Amino acid sequence: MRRIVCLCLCMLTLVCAGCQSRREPKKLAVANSVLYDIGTRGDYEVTAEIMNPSASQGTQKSGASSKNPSITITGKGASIRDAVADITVTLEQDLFGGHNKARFFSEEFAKKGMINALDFLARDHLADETPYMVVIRDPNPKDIYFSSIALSDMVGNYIERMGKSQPKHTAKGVFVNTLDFTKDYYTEGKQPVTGLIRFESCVDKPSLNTDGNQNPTSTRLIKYEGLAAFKDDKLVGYMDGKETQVYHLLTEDVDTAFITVPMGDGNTVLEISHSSADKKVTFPEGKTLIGVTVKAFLRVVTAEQGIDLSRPEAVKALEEEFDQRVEKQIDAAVHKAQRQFHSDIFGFGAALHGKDPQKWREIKDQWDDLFSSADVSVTVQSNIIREGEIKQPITMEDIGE
Amino acid sequence: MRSKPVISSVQLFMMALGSALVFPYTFMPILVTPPANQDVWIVLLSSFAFILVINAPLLILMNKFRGMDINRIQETILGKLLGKVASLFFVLFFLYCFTACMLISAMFINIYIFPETPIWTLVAYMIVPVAYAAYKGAGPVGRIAVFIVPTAILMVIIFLLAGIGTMDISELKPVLSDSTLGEITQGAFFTAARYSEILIFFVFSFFLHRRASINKTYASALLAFGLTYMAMLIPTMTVLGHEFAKHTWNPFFVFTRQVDLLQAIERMQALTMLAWFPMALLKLIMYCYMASYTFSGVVGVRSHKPFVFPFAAVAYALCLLPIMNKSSTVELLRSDRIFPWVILPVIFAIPLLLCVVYLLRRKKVDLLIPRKPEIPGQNEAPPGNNGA
Repeated sequence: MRRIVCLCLCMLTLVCAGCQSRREPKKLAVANSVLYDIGTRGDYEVTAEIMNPSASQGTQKSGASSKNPSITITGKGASIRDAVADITVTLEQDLFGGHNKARFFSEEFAKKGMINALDFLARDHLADETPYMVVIRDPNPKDIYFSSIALSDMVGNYIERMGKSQPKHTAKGVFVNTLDFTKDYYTEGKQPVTGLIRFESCVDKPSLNTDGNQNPTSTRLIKYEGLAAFKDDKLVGYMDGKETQVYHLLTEDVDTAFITVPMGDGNTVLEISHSSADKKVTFPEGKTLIGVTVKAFLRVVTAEQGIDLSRPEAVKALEEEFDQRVEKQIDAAVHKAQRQFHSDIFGFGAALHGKDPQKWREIKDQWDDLFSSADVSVTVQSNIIREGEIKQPITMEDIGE
Repeated sequence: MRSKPVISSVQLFMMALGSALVFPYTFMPILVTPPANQDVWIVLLSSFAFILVINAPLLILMNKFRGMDINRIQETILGKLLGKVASLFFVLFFLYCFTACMLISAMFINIYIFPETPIWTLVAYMIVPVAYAAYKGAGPVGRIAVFIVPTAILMVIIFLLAGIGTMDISELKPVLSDSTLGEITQGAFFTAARYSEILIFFVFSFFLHRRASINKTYASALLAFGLTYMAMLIPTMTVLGHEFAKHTWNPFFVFTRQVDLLQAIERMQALTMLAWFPMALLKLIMYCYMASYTFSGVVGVRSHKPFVFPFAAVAYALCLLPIMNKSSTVELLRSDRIFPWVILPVIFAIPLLLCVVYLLRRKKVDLLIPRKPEIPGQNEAPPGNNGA
């Protein structure tokens, strides 16, 4: 009898199986990305990119689907929750945010402040902390859903894949998820940043994946480059790709960054394979002095026009040129954060907090002002550790034994 | 005569460890305990000194009165009437923990997993297996623990290793600069005051195999608790940051949401639930059993069984009171304002009083202590109930 009861109970679990609740996945409208915007009347606008399962079914049958892989629906409301609820006025299935990959914010939304969005997202049981946070720098942020997304089928997937691949090839963009943003928001002496998107005219062959081949005139290209800088929860400005490389250098999360250094008759490209940044804040004679020492370990990617890197003096000269160039870049980027943003996105305050907690307690309330008016001293110490698989430039012919 | 069940030191170790880990797993109270900053891991280390001091009276009593159950120890020291009154305090405390733990667990499931499921259903799903297992007695409870607790520890280790890549050790800095000695001491005291698992020893050591050492089992359970708690606390703090971790209802669960195994297996937090839920049930089983067992001794009934289902029904009814089904109530119940102050009288004040009275009445009480400890598993049943 016991065995029969156990067997019945085990079989009962089969009918209880589901995705995350009693609702079947096919009855869910799975959001792949969400755009948060402010409407013309100042109310919230939330646009959800929702997966269209019937499009993938078409692909299986005929090899190419004429249906869109996703749809977008916009809701409006006095609060973010109202706007999300407004989406269901149009949608016949339950909106499911558990598989959201990216959260986009319009410029206007980000300038107004992110705290309402963060609070809503942190309370909701389906919205988690893993989606990337990205600001769209364009008056028409919804255009992201009508832009070319290369080989991906949905914008959310596109951003997620880019987040895994781009840092291996360049440091010109930042991929900040919701948790990172929230942590920076809470961290004393470090202001948050998000990724940045802008649109460009497409001069290359687009995939038309977003349009399901129905709108072959889609010619906008997404450029994921630079960063959006915040002060507390409000957007205060942008940095371009080069400045974003500096951000990575100073926050010590460089995967790969390429710096071009003019040498001889051409350019030499150096890859930063890893680096460290020592940030110091001192107060000599009542002034605030920010000192940055960056140590970078480099690999030579290409050396145009006759630099013989087998000679130590040539390597030394290249390192010095690199140091000067990067010092200028760092100086300019920090200056921009000081003068334009008044926001310590690099975390100098956090470094002071770590090294001199007592001093930090004294000045933390005035830190924004002290940071903005601080003098900056930058030192870069580079070290070329690899020259690739050849010792001399490929153009050099007379190589002795 | 029936023989009383015997539990091994490993079973008692697992029971105490499992029960102690449920609250860190569920809401990690140390994060909001003073100084509530990056130094809370130091608070955890410091708390062990307080735990040893607070638990010392009960440990002394257990060793001195080895072979006597909770009711008999108190009645021997305080006399029949006062002993029963003291035991009643323990019963009330077990019922409080039983109800509060059930409410906290149900609330957690309701917030994170099944927000649309009514609380009465969640509690009903918990209360049935809990009451059944408590009804079966001390032996089955010990055997269940040996299955459940290692799974939970394994999950902690898996998430610790899988989360290493996402940890940021700088979240633990600066060390001891934003906290005062007073705050650290206060936090350590509150953390120690929450460790009520000495009561599991107090009740279940009666069933412990005679060759097993209470002190060694207690020490190993405490050490394992400290190590496992640290293995949960450090990843949670270094991944979430202490401020965000403090804001969440279940920091460890939120930490597990960030972990993916080698960027291949995502959404591994389901594994946490797989380990946590049975462990929460185990804690409930033990408290339900301890309440029933102690109460049966108070009223002089030989078995705890008649009281298991009424107590379960009372706890169920309490959980459904409108005032209880509120996040703010649960937050108050589990906070430092309430919880340690409920636990301390039971784990420290009453045992200390028992020790003092014992010292005063030593000659008389010593005559009542059996010369040889009653050997669990042998045929002679103790004067109290046999716990089967």
